[in-house]
Amino acid sequence: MAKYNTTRFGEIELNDEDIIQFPTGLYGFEKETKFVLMPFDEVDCPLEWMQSLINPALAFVVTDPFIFVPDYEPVLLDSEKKEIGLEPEDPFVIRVIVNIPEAYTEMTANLVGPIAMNRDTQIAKQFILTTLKYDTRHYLFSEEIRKSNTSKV
Amino acid sequence: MLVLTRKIGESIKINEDIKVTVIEIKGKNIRIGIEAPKETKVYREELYFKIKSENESAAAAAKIDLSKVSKLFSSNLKKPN
Repeated sequence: MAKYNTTRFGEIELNDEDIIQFPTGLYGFEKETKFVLMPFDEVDCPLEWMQSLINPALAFVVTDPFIFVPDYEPVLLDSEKKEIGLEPEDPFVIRVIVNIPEAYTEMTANLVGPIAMNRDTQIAKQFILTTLKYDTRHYLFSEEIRKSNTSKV
Repeated sequence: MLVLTRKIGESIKINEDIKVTVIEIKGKNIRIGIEAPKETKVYREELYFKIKSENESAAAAAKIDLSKVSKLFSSNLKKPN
């Protein structure tokens, strides 16, 4: 067990196996090589925190993209899978980073830069999908909800 | 940076298996053809910048009121986009 200081959660104690290693960090955050996933406390909320263990103030909101886009296909090259220690047929966990503006219903997920994690080793990397099928700002709520909630937020 | 001058139709080889060819020049635009193994990731640099700036924006945006966000999901998740 090791203790980590975080701005949002205070001091947290983690086992090594809870820690997700990003050997190359995230794009623009190359020094952020260790994170932990923390579920939102609320029931039914599909979002999770991805808290940095390097910079106490840094936390991303992430989600399972398949909840919102059931046919999402984050295709990785075999060479990319190898970077996180996966054989071509091995399964992997996918999370996408959520961007939450002041109007919460306008929140978006970055489907072009998914994070793939090797469940066995907890090694992860953000990949860039070169397909033109996806958007870096994919709305999580329908247009109907975005319009009806704008005035309340 | 290695700088090479090429004419239309001429190529540059990178290692044994990557070939970059100048296809067409129209004003300020240059069309480039790239032949590379399937396992090579080729993309416009802007895509990298876009992901980077989206990460930065998401990190800054994560100062949220959890309970409000969760309420949104509990009332709306049955109608995902």
